[in-house]
Amino acid sequence: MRVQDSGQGEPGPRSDASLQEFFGRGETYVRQLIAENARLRLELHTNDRRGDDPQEPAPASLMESLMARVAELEHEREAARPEPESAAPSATDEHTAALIHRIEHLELESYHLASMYVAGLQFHAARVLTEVLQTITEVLLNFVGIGAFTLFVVDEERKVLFALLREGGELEACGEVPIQDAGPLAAMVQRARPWTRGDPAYADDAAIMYLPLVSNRRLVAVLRLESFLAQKPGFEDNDYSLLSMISEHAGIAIETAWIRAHAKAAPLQRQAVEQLVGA
Amino acid sequence: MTQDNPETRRLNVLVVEDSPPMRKMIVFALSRIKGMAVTEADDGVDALRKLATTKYDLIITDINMPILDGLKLVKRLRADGAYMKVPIIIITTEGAAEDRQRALALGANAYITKPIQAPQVIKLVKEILGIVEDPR
Repeated sequence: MRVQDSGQGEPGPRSDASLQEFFGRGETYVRQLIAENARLRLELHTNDRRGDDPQEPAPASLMESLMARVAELEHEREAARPEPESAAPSATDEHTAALIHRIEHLELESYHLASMYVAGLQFHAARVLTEVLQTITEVLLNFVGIGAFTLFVVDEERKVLFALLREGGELEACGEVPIQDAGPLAAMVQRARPWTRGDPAYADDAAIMYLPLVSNRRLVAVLRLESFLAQKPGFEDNDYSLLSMISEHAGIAIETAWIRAHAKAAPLQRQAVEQLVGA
Repeated sequence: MTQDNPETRRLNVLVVEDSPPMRKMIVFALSRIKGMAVTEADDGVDALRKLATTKYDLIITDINMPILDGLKLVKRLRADGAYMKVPIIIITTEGAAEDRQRALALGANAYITKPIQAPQVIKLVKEILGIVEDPR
């Protein structure tokens, strides 16, 4: 607050009288201020009383109007938000997830095709029967997840099926099965067709399935799949095409190995005979 | 281990497996990882011959093999200064828990069970070698 001048116009030592006058005027100002304050309070009170006028919005309706205004503002905010930019990250995320899923699917498909290729290659590369049997074992164990199985081979001369290979059990425990038998093994010989998924003729309760191994239209052997490996709960989609491939190619491999073995023996026998007769 | 730039140098992996189909499938799975140079060995003895001439960053070995099996191979490698700390993954069947425990006790780092799946092999190898590939 600025202190007003005494009105003397010139500085000088102040007397008691001038000080009394100064403080007297100050008191007057204070009184005026108190009066002005009282007047303003009264005016404010009057205005407050006018606020009770029924024409003014009631608290409830005021709340409703405020809520409506809030809703209006929110609506404006939503309308003002740039739609494409906000939707873009979400769409990108979905697209990325779909691509990752697709890549994983393709990787599995690629691995499956590779396993089919490798199995087929091994069957056709096998030169002797032991290699064919090893390939059958490895493919069933490592690619399909079969823990126990028996391979029965057809002996056309004796008209029987005999066990040649067994995994997960004793080979000697498997007897010969006459082709004229009415059981599932003998029935394979009559069908003489490669296995395909869903063929009811090959369903059997005593085993997971009987898988015919054919060479062209002739049954060469039968695989009895007896149980899965512990960690394998059941067939997956890819296993069926692998089994179908085994059904078509393992029989050819067995027959080829047999032909190779006999083709090799024939010249040796002829050579022995020629030596005997001195030719 | 070489001190080359990991961005550019190839990682040498030795796959020891007597079964040709299994070996081919493991090699195929590893081929899905960038920067892998894969060598195949038929059995433990074949592996030792190759380990003597080339330095490998990872060895994946089957347990049941003729001549020198996987357990003996792990034991010999862990006694060899050059391969004392090189990661070894063993291939087992689910039922061969005892062999698996023995291999881990001898110093193998991890195992995969048959029938193997490519994603399983790829994930484990990447983890062990600390490979982080750009998902794009």
